[in-house]
Amino acid sequence: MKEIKIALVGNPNSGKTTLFNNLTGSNQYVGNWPGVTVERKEGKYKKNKNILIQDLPGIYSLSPYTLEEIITRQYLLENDVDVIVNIIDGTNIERNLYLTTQLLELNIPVVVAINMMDLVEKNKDKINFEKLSEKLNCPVVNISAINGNNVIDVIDSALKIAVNKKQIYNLYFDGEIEKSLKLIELQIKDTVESSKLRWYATKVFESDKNVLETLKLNFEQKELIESYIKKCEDLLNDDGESIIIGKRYEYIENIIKLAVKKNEKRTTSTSDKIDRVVTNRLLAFPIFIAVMFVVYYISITTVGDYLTGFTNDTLFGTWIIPNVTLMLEGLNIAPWLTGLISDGIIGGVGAVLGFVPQMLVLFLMLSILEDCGYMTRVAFIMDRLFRKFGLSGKSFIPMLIGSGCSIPGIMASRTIEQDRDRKMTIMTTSFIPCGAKMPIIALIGGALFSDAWWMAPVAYFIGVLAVIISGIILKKMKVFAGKPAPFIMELPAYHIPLAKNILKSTWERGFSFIKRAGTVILLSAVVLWFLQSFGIVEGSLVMVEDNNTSLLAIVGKMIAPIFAPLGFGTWQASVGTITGLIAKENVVGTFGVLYGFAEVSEAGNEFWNLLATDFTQLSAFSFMIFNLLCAPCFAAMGAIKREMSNGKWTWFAIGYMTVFAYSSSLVFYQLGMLITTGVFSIMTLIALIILAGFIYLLLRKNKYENI
Amino acid sequence: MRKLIDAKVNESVKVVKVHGEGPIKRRIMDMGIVKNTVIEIRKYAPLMDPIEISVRGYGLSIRIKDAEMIEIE
Amino acid sequence: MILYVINNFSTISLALLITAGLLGIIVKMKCDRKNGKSSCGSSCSGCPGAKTCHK
Repeated sequence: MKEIKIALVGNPNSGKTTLFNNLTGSNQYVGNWPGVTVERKEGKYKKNKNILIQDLPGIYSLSPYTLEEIITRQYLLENDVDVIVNIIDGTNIERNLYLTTQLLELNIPVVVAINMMDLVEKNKDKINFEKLSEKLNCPVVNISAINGNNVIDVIDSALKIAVNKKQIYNLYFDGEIEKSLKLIELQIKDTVESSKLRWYATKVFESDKNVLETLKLNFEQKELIESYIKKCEDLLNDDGESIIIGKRYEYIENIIKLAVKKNEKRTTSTSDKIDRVVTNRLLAFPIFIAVMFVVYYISITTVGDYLTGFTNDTLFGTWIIPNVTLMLEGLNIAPWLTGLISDGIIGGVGAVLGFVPQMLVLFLMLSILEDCGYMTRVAFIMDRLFRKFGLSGKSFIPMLIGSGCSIPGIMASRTIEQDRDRKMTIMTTSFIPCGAKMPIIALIGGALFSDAWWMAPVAYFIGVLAVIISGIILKKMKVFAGKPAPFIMELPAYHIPLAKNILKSTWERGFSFIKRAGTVILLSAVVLWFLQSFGIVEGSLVMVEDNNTSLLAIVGKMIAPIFAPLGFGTWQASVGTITGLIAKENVVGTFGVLYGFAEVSEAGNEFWNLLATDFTQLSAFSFMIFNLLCAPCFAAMGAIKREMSNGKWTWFAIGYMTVFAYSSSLVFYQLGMLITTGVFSIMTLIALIILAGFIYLLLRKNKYENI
Repeated sequence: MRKLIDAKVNESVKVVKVHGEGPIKRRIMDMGIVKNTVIEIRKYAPLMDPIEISVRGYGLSIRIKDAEMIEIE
Repeated sequence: MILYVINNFSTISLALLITAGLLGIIVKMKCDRKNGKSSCGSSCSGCPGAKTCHK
């Protein structure tokens, strides 16, 4: 059997990702904010490997203005797609059919899959599928992707119509418009594929720049076409684009009248009731702050801390480490190997694994937030505020996702249409502490601030503040001059997240941390252990008792002066900061090796006590600020590079973050020193100068204001 | 000319024309706000911008500045 | 020499075992990278863009 290509197309939030997962059985995350499927995905139908399913980005139209729409239409035009499966949200059928009218013109067989039938029935709306199918001239299937109802029917009907390779479209246009379109078709018929003629003609009528460029019409043709359009526009007293869109919707309204019966007596939906509270003028912000506070408080301080305490003290402290040490001693293993295993491997990996429960709790709550629809409301209430900082409300979604991990956060910035807003979002997203930075926060909080409840919320607040300050500084730069992105965003109804989806996504995120602890963290722990155990004594390489004389200490001491003004000029802290670039939780792993996590067992958290002796509260906090804000891990840097797709911008972004982090920590530490000790040094003066610089950058006039 | 923002909250109004040009206008129309569409302002955001409107049975958020492009009867 | 090996048999075999383990991890990581499963951040494997960014 020949391979059959099926393309899944639909509006954002229509359940496309769920259907795709259902059909291919692949493991993907399902979210609930518009545009979660940013890029195309491919999969094979689980019942027949010859059927290739292409998941295209969620789009509202085939206009040439957003990246997703351009990707989709190019894919559909240039690839030999056998069938388009157009998935439609049954609760929002009118707007969803708008895309359908455009897809039908591509002359590729279309199957319309009406999703969320369970909700439609709950609303007591009635859809007449035969009528719809007749009017659209294509098969219509009703499904419920979430429950997996009828999804096989979609493929069955797709296969049935795949053979004839043709879609007969109905004419939505009449009179003068149809006449003009026919005339345009005559002009362009030699330059385009005959089956796509109608599609191109309507695009030309809309004066679609992309299409006009690809057609390469000569001057006379252009003149002629323009005269046709002009005539029509004058007659209908509107521009070509508006005429076409208006007609499409008019056509849809007529279909709806015949095929859909809406339950008129619909009471205020639950979604409206929730909205009345969470976007309330007075309550919106307190609720948002409370939600974020609860997320961080629960994951770090309460449930997470309890679980982490168990992992650290009981699992590692009482069970694993003493028994392993005992066993190694019993086997008469050389001391260096015992050291490598207990101090190096168990120390480094254990220090990180200890925080996995906290991360799991954080990821669980973030998944629920992402899935239930609250994120778009946050974007809605925050937009005004964020615009003041040069960002859009949509920047908030990447940032919330970024509090799980910066990488998907950075990638989520793709949904922001405007280049300038997108770049600013990419540059500021990783300021929000990601899951991997949580161990750092928890470690500092535990070791120096006796598990203060405010540590995590404060760290989050520092991230938000960094975003705000950066927004204001950056928007005044020449490179970021320009209009802000529009904010036309669908506010989908709330829904109760599926436990299956939530647990799956939590586990996937958490598991990648566990996996990383067993790979990257383990390897770097081994390397670090060797470097900190061996030193050069009298010209030869030997194992040293005191790691202050080790090779690693020598290297660390060379870097340390750089961080001395920030208050953490010890070689251990410097090494930790550098190894943190591999993965942020590696900072904790490194400390675990350097301060001997393995000795934790007898007298409680000895590792924390040792750590505490090398820091003051002030320097530890400064260390935390720097590590929260500085260049993210290599993987996130890679994501920045991909999204910026420009070397200069990547370096600008990373450089900016590092300079910003360094300056902030410096100002914090030096001013903190001034207040606590009253000593005024040159460094204090430098800190004041930097602070003045910050204030100038924040307050200076925006020369490129363009609103 | 009466603009969308002149309408009261929860007042059903009919669109006459979407002014302006380029991506924003196109996006507004793609979302279903065209001539003769009945829409209503559902609410203002806590900081009075953007607004949520109800169009063709779903909720859409749009900034005041962009809503000014929508002329109503 | 033989005496040394006998005396330190457990150390040597454990050291070899660990070396093998570490090599295994390195090979696994290389494999993963080739297959596009990078060890990056938290949710890459679950992220909608995963396939495109780990080519």
